[in-house]
Amino acid sequence: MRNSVRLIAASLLSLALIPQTAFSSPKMTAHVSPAGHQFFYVPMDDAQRTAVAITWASGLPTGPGIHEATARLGIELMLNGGAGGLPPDEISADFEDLDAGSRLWVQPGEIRGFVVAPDDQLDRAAEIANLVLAQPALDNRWLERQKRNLLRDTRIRNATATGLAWSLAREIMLEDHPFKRFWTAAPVDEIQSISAPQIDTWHKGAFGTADLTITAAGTAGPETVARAIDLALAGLPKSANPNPVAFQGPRIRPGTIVLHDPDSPKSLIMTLGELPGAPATDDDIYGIATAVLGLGKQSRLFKAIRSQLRAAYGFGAGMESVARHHRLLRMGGEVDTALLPQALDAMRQSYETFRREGIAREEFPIARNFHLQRIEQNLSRPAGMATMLMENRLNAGSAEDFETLANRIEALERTAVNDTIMANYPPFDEMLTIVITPDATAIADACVITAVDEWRKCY
Amino acid sequence: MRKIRTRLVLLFLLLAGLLAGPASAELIKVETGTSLRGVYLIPDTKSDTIRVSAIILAGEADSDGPEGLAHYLEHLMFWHADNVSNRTFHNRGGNAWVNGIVTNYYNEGGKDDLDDLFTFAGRLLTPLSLDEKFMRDEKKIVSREYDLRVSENSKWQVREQINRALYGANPVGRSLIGTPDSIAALNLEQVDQFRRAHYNAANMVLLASGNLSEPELRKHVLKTFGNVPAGIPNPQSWRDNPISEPLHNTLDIADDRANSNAYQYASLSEWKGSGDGLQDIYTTRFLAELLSSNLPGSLAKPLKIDNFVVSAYNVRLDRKLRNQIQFFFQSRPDEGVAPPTVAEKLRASLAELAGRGVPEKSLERIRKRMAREASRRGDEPDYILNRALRNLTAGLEPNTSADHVARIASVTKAEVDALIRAVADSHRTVEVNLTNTGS
Repeated sequence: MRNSVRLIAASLLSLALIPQTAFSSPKMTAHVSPAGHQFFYVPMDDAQRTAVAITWASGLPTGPGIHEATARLGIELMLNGGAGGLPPDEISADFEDLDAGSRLWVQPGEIRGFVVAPDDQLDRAAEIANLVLAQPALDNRWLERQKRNLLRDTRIRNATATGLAWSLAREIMLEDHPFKRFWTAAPVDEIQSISAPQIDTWHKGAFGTADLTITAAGTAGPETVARAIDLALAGLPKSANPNPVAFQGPRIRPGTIVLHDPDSPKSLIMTLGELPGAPATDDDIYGIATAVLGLGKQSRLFKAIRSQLRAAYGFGAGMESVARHHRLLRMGGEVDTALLPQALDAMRQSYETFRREGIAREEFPIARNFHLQRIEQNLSRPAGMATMLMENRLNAGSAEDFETLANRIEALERTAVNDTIMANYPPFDEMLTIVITPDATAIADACVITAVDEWRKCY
Repeated sequence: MRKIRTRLVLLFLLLAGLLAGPASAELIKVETGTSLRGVYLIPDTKSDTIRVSAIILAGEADSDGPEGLAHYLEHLMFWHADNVSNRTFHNRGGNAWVNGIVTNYYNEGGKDDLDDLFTFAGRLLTPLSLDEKFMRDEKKIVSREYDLRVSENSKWQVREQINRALYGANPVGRSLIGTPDSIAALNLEQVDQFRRAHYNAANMVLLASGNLSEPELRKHVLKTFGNVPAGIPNPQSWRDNPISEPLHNTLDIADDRANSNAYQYASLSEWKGSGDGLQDIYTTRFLAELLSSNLPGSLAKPLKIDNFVVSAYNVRLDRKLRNQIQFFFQSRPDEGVAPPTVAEKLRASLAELAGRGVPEKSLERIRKRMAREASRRGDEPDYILNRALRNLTAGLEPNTSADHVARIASVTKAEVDALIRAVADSHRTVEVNLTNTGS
């Protein structure tokens, strides 16, 4: 009896000594569906739903008279204009009945989509997805409407300070690269001339089954997932359309450009620098570092610009993807026009201190813990799990990279993160700073322009 | 025969809901013996984090000072409460928001941070102890927030104009954030007056979710709030001041920064409902879901699908005043469609639906969708928490997931029909035609 008590006590002690990860490690397995589609699956016992994510390697439409934004319009048309002989309201209502979710979008080099549904509705969700993928109506009346909507939305976005800053940044970083044309949806007359046959040609080429990455996560089990994948992809041609667009990365031209907008009700700062296209295992280092710099109320930039200078409501930093393996560090926020130069100085000082000294001893465990919580949040739902697994696959990560994520984050040391900050975060003076403001004289020594297309005069 | 079948369907849905439970997380009302208005626990053993939400049952509707007072106080009170033990870093993260009627402060952390989490909540009931210059300067931060959220957002500005016009002298129509002028007019005396009047235990509801037991919650609540006096509960007497004077107002606004036309419509109608305020929330939700859906009886078919009148819209139904229902429609007309065309089509669609009643099949599909969601998400703390916040905003107590399922099953076509008739026959309407005059 006494021995058994000792045994129990010993077991409890050993449990306490085992480092507890915040969440159980996901286990990924590889499968092939009856129709021959390879996919990767993670079981999630408590999820109640299953997500299936598909990525088509897909270049942008190019050629004489073909605008790259044809792909964006095509996706909108597929999603909104009806499919499989069903009118738009019927197909949407049928999908809404399933308690399911879905998304289909295009970005340079990839078309991404996912469906998440209760296990007993996964087949029906996949069937509806198949109608959209394989038999979209591509109706001309709807195309004209989507063109008008795209142009209007672009106009609305470009009328805001944030939209203007991004337009200018894209012009400077991408010049005439097809990625810029894809994102800016300009010029207007070229968008207006996109035709139904062009959309049809793009659609036929973009959605094949030969160059796919498929991931899934949830409770349905690999057999059900395999059936759903085959249903979703039925009837698509066995072709691929990678047509990769050559891209050497964004061109960061150092300096400060003020875009003077006398009617703007506010001022905005946006600073951009290039970060290395990190391999899958480095993502967490950049995630933690960038969060310390500018995510949340305890971040360096928030404290410098809001808490101390009192110049902004929100001010921070984040990472932006330009294309796979090309990403940017972004810092900034809207600031009090009267405090614009001080805010810029405070941001520069705060950033350079961060770059020089890295993360402080007391900051690090909290930052690592918050990062772990964000990852846990992502991995707690099937769509998030399937998406993170997709990123692992597309970044050529290993199964081990994915399965040991939590342990890896917990084992991260401050020195490793600080080494990365010091080595790979660009000096402030090598970054591009854009200021949108109604005060043309706010920043001394800046190059002042009054329209986006005047940027070349600054270099 | 139809009645019997409907009853059988209701019974089936009710049983299905009951059989789906008991969920692993459920709302529990916890008796603590403190003066707090209410303490609730949503236990979730799967989570490593604990969230503590402290909801003050007061907001801009309870202010008579310059607009934006409750929001300014929320800013100040967050920083005051956040300053636990003068620590530079906390292992918790949180935020706060106002919706005009309640003010919610929330924080998340681990089990080791429970003292920190509850100390934050407790400090919400203590006098502001921030540097006076810091507090005055926070108005500049609020102004920057105005810039961020409102200055380029014509729709927001229009919505606030509509609210003011629709509710007249009733303070529930006040702006949440205010205007640059009203923000500038706020002072610390008004702030302190509002805080003393409303930030007390009798107006605070505490909602904790996560890996926390009832005894643990009780222990921390007692430690933090055991000696806090109740104070005076906020009567929210504005709820009992219905607006009977008719109004039919059309505002034409030309905006050179809008870059797109917009049409917004709001109405206030007499609607007594069923006599059960909580059940009425479900009736309004059914109608809002139907109008927003793609089902027969929705607004999508006549306005967006069959006719290219609007490319996007959203619908809200709110009962802020006791016997009146507010309908709110916000839309982006298709390019080339003038806002008055949207107005005409909207009125015709509402009148037609009111005349023939909501399609029974569509209603049952809405019921099935909501029951499915309730079954799937019934034990999610966020789902329960959002429902609780919705109820508190409506002046009602939070309800359990089991009650939620039963109420979804109990919504009747007759009640929804009565509601759409009320919406179509409103005595106060305000509509705004926002015309883009930009390049």
